[in-house]
Amino acid sequence: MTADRSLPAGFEALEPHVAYWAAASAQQRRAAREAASMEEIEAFYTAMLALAPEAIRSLEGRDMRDLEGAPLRLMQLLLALAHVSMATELHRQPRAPFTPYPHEVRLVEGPRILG
Amino acid sequence: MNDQVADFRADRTNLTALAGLDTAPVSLEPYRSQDWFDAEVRQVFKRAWLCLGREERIAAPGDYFVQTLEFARAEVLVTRTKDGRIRAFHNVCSHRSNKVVLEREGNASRFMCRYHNWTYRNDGELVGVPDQKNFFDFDRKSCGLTPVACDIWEGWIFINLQREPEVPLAEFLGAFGEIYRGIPYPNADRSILFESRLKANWKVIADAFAETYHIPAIHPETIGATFASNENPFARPISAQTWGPHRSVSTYGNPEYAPPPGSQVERLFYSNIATGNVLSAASLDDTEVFRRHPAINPTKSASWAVDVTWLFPNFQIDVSPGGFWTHHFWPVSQDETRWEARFYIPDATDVWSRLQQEHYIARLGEILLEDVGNTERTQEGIASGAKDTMPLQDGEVMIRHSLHNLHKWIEAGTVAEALA
Repeated sequence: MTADRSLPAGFEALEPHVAYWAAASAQQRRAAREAASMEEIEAFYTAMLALAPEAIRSLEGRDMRDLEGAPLRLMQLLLALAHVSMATELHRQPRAPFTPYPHEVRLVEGPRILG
Repeated sequence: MNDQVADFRADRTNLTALAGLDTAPVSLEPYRSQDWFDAEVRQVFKRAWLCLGREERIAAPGDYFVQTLEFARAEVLVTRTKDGRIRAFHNVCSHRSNKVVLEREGNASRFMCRYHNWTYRNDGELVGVPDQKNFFDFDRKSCGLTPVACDIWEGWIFINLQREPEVPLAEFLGAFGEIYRGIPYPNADRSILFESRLKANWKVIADAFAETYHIPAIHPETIGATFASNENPFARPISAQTWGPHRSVSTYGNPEYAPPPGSQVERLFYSNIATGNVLSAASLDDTEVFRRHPAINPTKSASWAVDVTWLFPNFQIDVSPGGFWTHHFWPVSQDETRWEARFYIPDATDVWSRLQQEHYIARLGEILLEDVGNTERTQEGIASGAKDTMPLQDGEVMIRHSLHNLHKWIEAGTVAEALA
């Protein structure tokens, strides 16, 4: 897999977002969202949401435990969409209002699959 | 048992009076006094049975974990031996008192202290002492790990730091322990854990998860619309119950809640899965398991969200249509707490359930931060001395009941007296 084709065919438009948003753990995805500006969050949210139904379809029938390479990165981007949606759909700002940042509330044990 | 049902639509509810508690403002000294904290450690935490979580965490023989108890300056090693029993020990070598186990969890039938290679079996027996002949009148059998009293109730591991507990676990749990029998805990063997050290008294954190009055204010976007509605705008509880020092409230959920049109990701990720609640990590099958049990959602309300059950002194079990989770509030010092929130969730092996789960986890992170982000500011306010007391409203009945029982335990000479 080369760096310029890290996602399955058809999802090239998301390539610019892989380096930052395709993170391995739920805590890393959460931390990435918390550290991003609203501009960065909205750019990823808009691009990812547009392709999300198609991305989900491409992963239907796959066992999440066996993902690797390009499909794994695509799934990681979908998972990151859950986190950025907290900012765009709930708070309308990068982080929850009146909450401290940085903070020490950490997900120290994530889910066993893609966690 | 004290059964209290309140009509949240009435002008005011009467849970506090029904629980037999007075209604006066409560003192803030328990939240800021070093003397009070020392008394709590001595009279409460070193005498009460303390829950350490599910036994499924150490399901196989040899599995173990180490629990730090900062308030006692102790570490407890909890093991499952080859006969399937769960045992607990102080994590201290019998030779020079070094810590024996340095890992937090794992699987081992034996543990070797790194100082002089003394070796213990996971049932506590000392089985290996290098150059034993050079000790004096050495009795290996009496040099095992120091046991900690340990018992299991419904799959929950409890320990007691009294060498000979004054009352057995069943007596400590009392009627609660009977009524809450037979609840199945789905996914008890797998969980996610949020943890934080917070600069606040442990009760400030525990109180934050003990009432829903704060939800419309602190959580307007994350869960405000799910716990309150036009018929219950202040998220009043549906009912409350007390059993000796233990207590529970059943909280209101908005049965009309649906993700708003702008919540496109929430709508997409939940579109393919039937759940009883958008805050859910589990399926409708799991929901039915809970709904059938008489102790869960005891009024069988159609507007049920979560039962928050607070076992004295520092442990909460939350049961919702979507599953269960727990909070541990471990005192570190008078104004510091280590808080653990463990959510039991299934393995999500397909794309739809895994995305729903990530959305659930992401939202949890926001809710928990909203909850505990508030606590350090509260502690600073308490510590300022500006106020001597706090008024508690009827929906905050569990906080009042907690303080009432802490007082009782601190004053009681014996545990039996504290429980009377």
